[in-house]
Amino acid sequence: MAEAKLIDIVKDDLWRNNPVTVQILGICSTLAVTNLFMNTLIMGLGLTFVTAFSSLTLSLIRHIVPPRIRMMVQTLIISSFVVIVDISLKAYVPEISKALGPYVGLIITNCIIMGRLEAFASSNKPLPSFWDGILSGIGYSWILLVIAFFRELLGFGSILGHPVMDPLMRALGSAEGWIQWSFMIMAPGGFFMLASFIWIANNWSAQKLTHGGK
Amino acid sequence: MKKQAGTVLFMMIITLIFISALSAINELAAKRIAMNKMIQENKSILYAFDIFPKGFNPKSLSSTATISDIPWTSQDVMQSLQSNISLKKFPLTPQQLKERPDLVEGDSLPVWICRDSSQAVRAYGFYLKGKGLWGSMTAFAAVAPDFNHLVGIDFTEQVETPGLGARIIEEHFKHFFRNLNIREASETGAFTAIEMVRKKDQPNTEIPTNQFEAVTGATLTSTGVLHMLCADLHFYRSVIAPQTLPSER
Repeated sequence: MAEAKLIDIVKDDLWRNNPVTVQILGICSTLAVTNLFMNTLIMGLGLTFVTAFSSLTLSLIRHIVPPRIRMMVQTLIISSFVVIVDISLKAYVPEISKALGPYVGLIITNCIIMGRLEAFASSNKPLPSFWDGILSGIGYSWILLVIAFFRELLGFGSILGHPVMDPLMRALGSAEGWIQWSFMIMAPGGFFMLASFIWIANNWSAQKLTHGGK
Repeated sequence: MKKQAGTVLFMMIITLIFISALSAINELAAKRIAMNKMIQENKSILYAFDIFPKGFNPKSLSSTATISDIPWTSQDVMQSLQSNISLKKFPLTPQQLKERPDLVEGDSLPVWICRDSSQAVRAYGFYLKGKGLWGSMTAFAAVAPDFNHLVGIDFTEQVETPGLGARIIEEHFKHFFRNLNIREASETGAFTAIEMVRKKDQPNTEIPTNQFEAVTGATLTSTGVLHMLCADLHFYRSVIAPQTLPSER
């Protein structure tokens, strides 16, 4: 794999063409799971695994897949890896599987995976496809983790379930401690945080383009 | 025609390969998943009966803790269950069988009985079934023999929104059910017999009331829990009370 291409994939997936902030894909799960950091982390890992291995598998068989049924094959590959994630969670971390409930199965419907398979893996070699899958997953996950960090911190006053804001507020002299922002843990809080993030990210990119003279 | 047949054949072969692989993985993990499920259910039963590992203080559980945070070993779970709790099946009348077929096993109602060291009944435990926001939910509840207060509850199956309704499995929600007054609810089954409030400062273990605190942002899930409790407690009381000796109540 040429080094320039590798760097391009990294830049594209993590920032320039980020699946969440630029392509606006995978929004359902972005809004749904980001009120708890741990759930978001597991969701991100699950999606990264599925995207990476689905891309690798499709790339390996891309020359023998008849074009007219390529989407059926892609769906079959994606759903198979989602089932593997679901079985693994149930077998090794049943409590997380229980907490995520129906969202693991819903990874199948995440547009990022099919988007990368169709746009990249179906026309590239296995290794770059695998790499693209991992980075798309990371590109999706890091945005979700930033949103989840603030939603859990403001909504529950905790990070990874450990109380942070309440002890902090009491140490700063507040007798009431931290009053939870209930809005943040509900779906509208997710919309608000995501919209704010996209606005900041796109403003930043636009400014760089304007002032960078590119 | 030949090309179309080739496409269909390709799809069939690739589907067969993937299904075979998944079946193999499922078969390999099935035992472990079944064992996990059984241990989780037994942990729920012990939690509802207020039984914890030796030397463990339940007050040390954080507000977001679930039964997975209780330091049980698989062996201790099984041992504790066998030494403290027994299963009894209460026969049902045809009318009762028709009323709640979802709670019945065969033609009887399974009830777990926890006894103290003098073999007196300390609590009855049973599964409750109801509806949440997105689908059905199942809980295991333990009640005092006189059906006056709840000993505890844990939610064994639910498909509520992660981070919102799904938080019913956490300690901050469940601890309000310890010592919850259920006398009226079990007698009448009326949904107003238990009250759901937005904010409750003291747990029922300190000052017993018929109130519990709803999960913020998950009012419909909390209401589902309330309805499930009232309806099922009334049903269980109508079956258990007439079939037990006064000394067991």
